[in-house]
Amino acid sequence: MLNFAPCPIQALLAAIRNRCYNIVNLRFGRWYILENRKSARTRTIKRSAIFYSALLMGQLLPVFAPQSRVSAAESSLSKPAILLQDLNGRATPAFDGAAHKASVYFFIIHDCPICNTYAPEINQICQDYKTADIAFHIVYAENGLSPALAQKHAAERQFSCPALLDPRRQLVKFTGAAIAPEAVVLSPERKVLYRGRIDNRMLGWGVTHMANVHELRDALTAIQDGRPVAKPWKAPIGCAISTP
Amino acid sequence: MKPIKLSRKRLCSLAATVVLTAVFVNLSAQRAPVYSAARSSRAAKPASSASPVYARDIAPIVLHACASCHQPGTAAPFSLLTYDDVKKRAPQIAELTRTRYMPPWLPKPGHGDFAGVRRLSDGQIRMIANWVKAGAPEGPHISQRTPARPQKTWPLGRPDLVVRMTQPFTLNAGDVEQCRSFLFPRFLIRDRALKAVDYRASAPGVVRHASLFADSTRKARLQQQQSGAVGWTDFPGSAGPGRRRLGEWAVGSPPVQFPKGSAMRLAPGDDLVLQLRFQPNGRQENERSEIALYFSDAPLPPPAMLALGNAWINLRPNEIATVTDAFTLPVAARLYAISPHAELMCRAIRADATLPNGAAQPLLWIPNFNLDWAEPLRYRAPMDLPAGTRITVTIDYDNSAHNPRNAEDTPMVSGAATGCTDEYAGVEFQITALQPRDIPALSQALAAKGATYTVQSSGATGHG
Repeated sequence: MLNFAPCPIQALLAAIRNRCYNIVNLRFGRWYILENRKSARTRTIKRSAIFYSALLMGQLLPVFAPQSRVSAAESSLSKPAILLQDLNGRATPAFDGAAHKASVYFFIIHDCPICNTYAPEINQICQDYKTADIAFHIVYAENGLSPALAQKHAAERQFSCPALLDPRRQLVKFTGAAIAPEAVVLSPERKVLYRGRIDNRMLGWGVTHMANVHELRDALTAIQDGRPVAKPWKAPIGCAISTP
Repeated sequence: MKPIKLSRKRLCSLAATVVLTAVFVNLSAQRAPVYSAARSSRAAKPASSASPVYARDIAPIVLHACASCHQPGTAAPFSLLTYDDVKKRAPQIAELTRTRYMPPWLPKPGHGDFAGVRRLSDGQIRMIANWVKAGAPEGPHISQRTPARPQKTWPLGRPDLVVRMTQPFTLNAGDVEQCRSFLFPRFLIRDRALKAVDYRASAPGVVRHASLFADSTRKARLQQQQSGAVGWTDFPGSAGPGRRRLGEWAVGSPPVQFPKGSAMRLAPGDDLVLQLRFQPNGRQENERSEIALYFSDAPLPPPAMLALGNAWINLRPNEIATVTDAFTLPVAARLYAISPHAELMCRAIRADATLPNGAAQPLLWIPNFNLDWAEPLRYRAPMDLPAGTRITVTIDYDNSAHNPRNAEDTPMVSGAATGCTDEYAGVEFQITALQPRDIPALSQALAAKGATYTVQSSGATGHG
């Protein structure tokens, strides 16, 4: 005989009332009360144990998981396929297979004044490390920016490296970039080797001076020389990358 | 009613079921609010009167205090006219208003009652922060008055004369932040009385600050000749004999108007020198500035300019210096405006008046000076000061590692960072004698005032 109740308490009361108290099960959103048969009871208890264990693990795992904002790139060594757009609107893979040592991504927002101030330095870095098996990309981390407008922006800034559009923030999420302009350096295995500011010319909004600490250049030189990249990484001053 | 009989096994099974059910329900209840909050960033949840929404609470603030500059065709880098514009930058807006970097307004409240205040109240800043925290909801549409669009005409009407740079100056994409001066030689054919002046950049996105001088020393012509290019660097922009400051503009500054009944005298041999501070925006820009001049038909007495400080100082690394100066009014005077002038390493500027009866009258206090937003400040109502009032200024400089404008751990010789040479310290007061009969006495006293400033320094500050 099969019966059901809409909630666990009612099911429990019904089970007690019908002496079926040990065969309460949850299926398809309903609380079923089965006959008090030994075989059915044993089967249902087993099912209940498996079901509740899985449910409990599912609930507990996120609670005890570390809460830090670790990017997917840091937590995984897999090579996911992320497709962004190029400046003609075509789907383009975010990762360059030709980068034997590292891939550098400059996350920018086209109308962020601080990003624009950095354009010459970005070009210079691309130029200076061109022969070091390092690939460079500009990534527009914003939605609502048409490929045509991005193309115009890139042409005016004379970006010498390829530019990509990330309107859905896929690469942003993968790398953990948060503020534009932010530089992220990935190893060929997609591990974050550096993430942070390009240099120290901005010490706050409206607080600028001639840069004398060049963290990204230092990181690239270290990668070039096969040394580990120095930490800690400092967050850039700039425009917050919004959610899509 | 029959008593329920429970075996031990059945009891254990029931207990386990109840415990597991309770744990599940409890954990689900704990996580539910987090999930719903994350999902409800732009959800159409009904806005209670307590939670701010854009249309009702934020738009009036943004459209009044931000969008007059942040709209297409202005110097500001992006528009803030629509909800989508503002939503895109909501966290940034909350942060920059919290730190009071935006909207730019340097004077501290209670130290001078100025016209055109752009400062937000604490309540408005809190409102923006709460709105961003609530997920920046739009709310039901309410018709708002948008700020006036930038016009191609001049705000004061048709000028009597517009002078324009003869050649454009090209700021290359790779150029660094810099100051540069441009000459407008012998622009008049007869004496004129200048009652107002305005400035317009052709590439407003890269011009952060402009100062205009009338120079009768001919030195600017020599510097332009020696430069051989469009403009030159190193124009000492302090006011003095033969060199008068006519105006100063930060982004969003209004036209400069001299006090009613006064005008600046300009002679045919005078040159105009425009000093611009450029901040590159990563692309090549051509700047060809225009200056609009408004003349008075009747000859008017010049506005008296009291310049205190007016000192050039060269700061060494780690040097901390304070420039002070004072002047006692020989006659009763009316104070219209005050212009703080300093450079990169200035921390604070303060001006006070001590009346003859000993009462203190604060005139200006800028606790966190920022060269980008330095502009003349006009009092909402002119301030009358009796004869014998002592006006003092204090300008603090800090070239140590504690000054955030200095490079990390490496204080540099001041000024080298921007291409503008030394640091300058000065405050100019736009005053007139209260009684017409006292005008000559005030003019004589101001002309006779020499360099009276003092510099207290932790190092061997050079100044002049």
